[in-house]
Amino acid sequence: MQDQGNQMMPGDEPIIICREMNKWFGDFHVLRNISLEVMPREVLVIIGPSGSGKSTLIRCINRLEEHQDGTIIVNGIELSHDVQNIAEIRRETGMVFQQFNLFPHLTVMDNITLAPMKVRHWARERAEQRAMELLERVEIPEQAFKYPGQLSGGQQQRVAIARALAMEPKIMLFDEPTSALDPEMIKEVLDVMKELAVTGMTMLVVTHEMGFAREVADRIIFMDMGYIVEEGPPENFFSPEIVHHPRTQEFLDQIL
Amino acid sequence: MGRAMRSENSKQDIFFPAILRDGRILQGIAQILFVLIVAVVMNDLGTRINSALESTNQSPNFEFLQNRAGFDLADSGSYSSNDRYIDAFRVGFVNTLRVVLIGLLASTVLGILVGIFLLNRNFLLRTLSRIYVEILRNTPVLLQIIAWYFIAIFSLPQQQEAIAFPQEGIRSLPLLQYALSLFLIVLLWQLTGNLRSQLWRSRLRQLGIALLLLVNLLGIVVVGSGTPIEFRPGIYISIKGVAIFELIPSAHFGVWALFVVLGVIVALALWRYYGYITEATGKPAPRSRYAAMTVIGFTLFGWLIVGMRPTPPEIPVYDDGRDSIVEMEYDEAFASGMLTIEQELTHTRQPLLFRPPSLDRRGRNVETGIEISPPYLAVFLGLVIYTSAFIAEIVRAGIQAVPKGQLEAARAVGLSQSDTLRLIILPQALRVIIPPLGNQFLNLSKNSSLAIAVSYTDIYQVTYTIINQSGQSVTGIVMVLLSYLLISLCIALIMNLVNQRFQLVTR
Repeated sequence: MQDQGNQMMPGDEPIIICREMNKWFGDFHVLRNISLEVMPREVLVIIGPSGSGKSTLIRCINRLEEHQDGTIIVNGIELSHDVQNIAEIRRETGMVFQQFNLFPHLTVMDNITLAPMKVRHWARERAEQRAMELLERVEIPEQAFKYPGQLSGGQQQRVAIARALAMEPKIMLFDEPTSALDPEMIKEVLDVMKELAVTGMTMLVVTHEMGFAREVADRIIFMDMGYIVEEGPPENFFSPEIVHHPRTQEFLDQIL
Repeated sequence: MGRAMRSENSKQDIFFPAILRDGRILQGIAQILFVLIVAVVMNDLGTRINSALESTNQSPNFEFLQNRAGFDLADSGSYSSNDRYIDAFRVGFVNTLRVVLIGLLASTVLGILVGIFLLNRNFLLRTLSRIYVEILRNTPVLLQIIAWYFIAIFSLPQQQEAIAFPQEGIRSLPLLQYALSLFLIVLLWQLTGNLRSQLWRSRLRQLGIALLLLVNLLGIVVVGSGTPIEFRPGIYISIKGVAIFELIPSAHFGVWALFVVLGVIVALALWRYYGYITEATGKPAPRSRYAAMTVIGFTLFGWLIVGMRPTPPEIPVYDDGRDSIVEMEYDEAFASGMLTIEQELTHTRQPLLFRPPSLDRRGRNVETGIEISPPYLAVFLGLVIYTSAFIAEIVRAGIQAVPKGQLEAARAVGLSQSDTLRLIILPQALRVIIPPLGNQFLNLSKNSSLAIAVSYTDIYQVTYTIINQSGQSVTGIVMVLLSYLLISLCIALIMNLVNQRFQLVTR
């Protein structure tokens, strides 16, 4: 457990801290006593059956969902009803959704430059220059002036990653980024995410791609019924010798 | 087996040759037959109607339109019973347009407002707007128009006791002076808002307010001591309808208009300049506020400068009491009310002359000012409020049709509430809203023919009278049909153009 995050520098503070966090949807207790610390540059993969609360967990971190109990501190700022805090945290966290959620009425370029210009107050020239750099990084610079509807799913998700990165966030949240993609498009998105992990981005990834988890994750969390059931480095997680919690073992048996 | 089947089919070829089994040919034949049947029926109908009309000496023609109408019309401007039928028809057409155009505008504004209320977090607002929508869209519009008419007739006072606003007897306030002072305070706040030093900012603001107070006090004590002007009511509401004041351009209107136009030009230039600055540096600028302040500033100062012209020389006015012409200062003459409109227009220092509605105590029609009759009010309110309920639902549905993920994505990249609404939600909602909104516009324009229920002189009501008098029913109905068709096609054309702008590009 101690060797997690091999790119971690000594003396770093955790960039995300959740303490005793609880959330309910009506009567349904989605997140139960979640305590979690994420270090800068760490890649944390969250796995678990559907309905286990893994998406809700990362959606709480940029306040797309409101937690009802406990504390969340992101980048040293506590998430509360303070709208200024929420805005500040959202500036520092990028998010990639399962359904891409690109803005269909804007070109790829405008999708990417909108937030830097409106939120970070960049000049258009700077924002467009940065957008082109990012589009080259996700390998679709030639699509800059098309509309999202004209792109394939994999291309759209890569634009969505570029859009999130354009705000130069400290943390990236991925909410099942490959679940809505055709098998052959999954790889192109995962490749972009791997490259991003290598450059030292702090990443929280909800996914069912065990290959990606094994290869890229510094730490894996298994969630079920709103609890964090088990956590550890991928070597331990996928090793047949380790004795797992019965629920984890059941899940791993089904997907591996 | 297959062979046997085919040979059986080819036996039937004698009765149904291959050409008659070709789907394209069959469709063609069906279409030709349909056109033939329609043509025969229409032709028969036409001949029957024609011969019936000829036997009663009513063959359709347009010549009768030049004949004297001989009937009076309400809401008809300069029209009189000595004018021709075609003039009466024109009055009706204009009156229909008056309802439709202003009605479209008002129902859209009201509908959007109620539609947004339907989605409001506030329970009371949401529920009240829901009740509003459900009551209005579930009752016939004809009944609503008639209800408004009776509300107007029964609730409003007789003309002699008309509700006046503002009440008589109020003295004229130095409105321009107050408006200017308010403007200068806002300007001062804007200009000092960018200052770094807190101390200097508050010092400058205090100094500015002190100066303004001093000037204002001086103005009231020294300048304002002149002749007080009686402030006559600007609006009368009575059973005869609503009478609103008129603003007539005076001799100095041009100079003032120049200031306003200049203000608009400067504001547009500022708007573009700050847009450019924001693009180039990223620094946000409240450019709508700057532009609005520029226009307001030019308008007010233009009025002030025009008003500062030297006092007009002595004016000859007719004195009732002495039954002779006397020379008087303008202010004095104005206060005594002895000026003719022409004299007021040439000698006033204001760019616009305020003409209050003059109430004729004998209960006859209003002489000056703009008059809105109860039938017009009833039709207008009925149509606008009825249509607004439908537009509200369309707006609500349009906003709700934007996927939730769009809102989440906009929040996740950190866009503010207003930017999210303006840049993400609204453009996508409009795409859904515009086609059904066009339908409602067409409904409103066609429903305006219900005006006949409250005797509003719209195109249908006027034509109905023309038909009764002249017997030219076919010509009359065709003219009304074509008029509505013209209005509807114009609306449809505009809505289609707007719709094209909001379509998404895919593939």
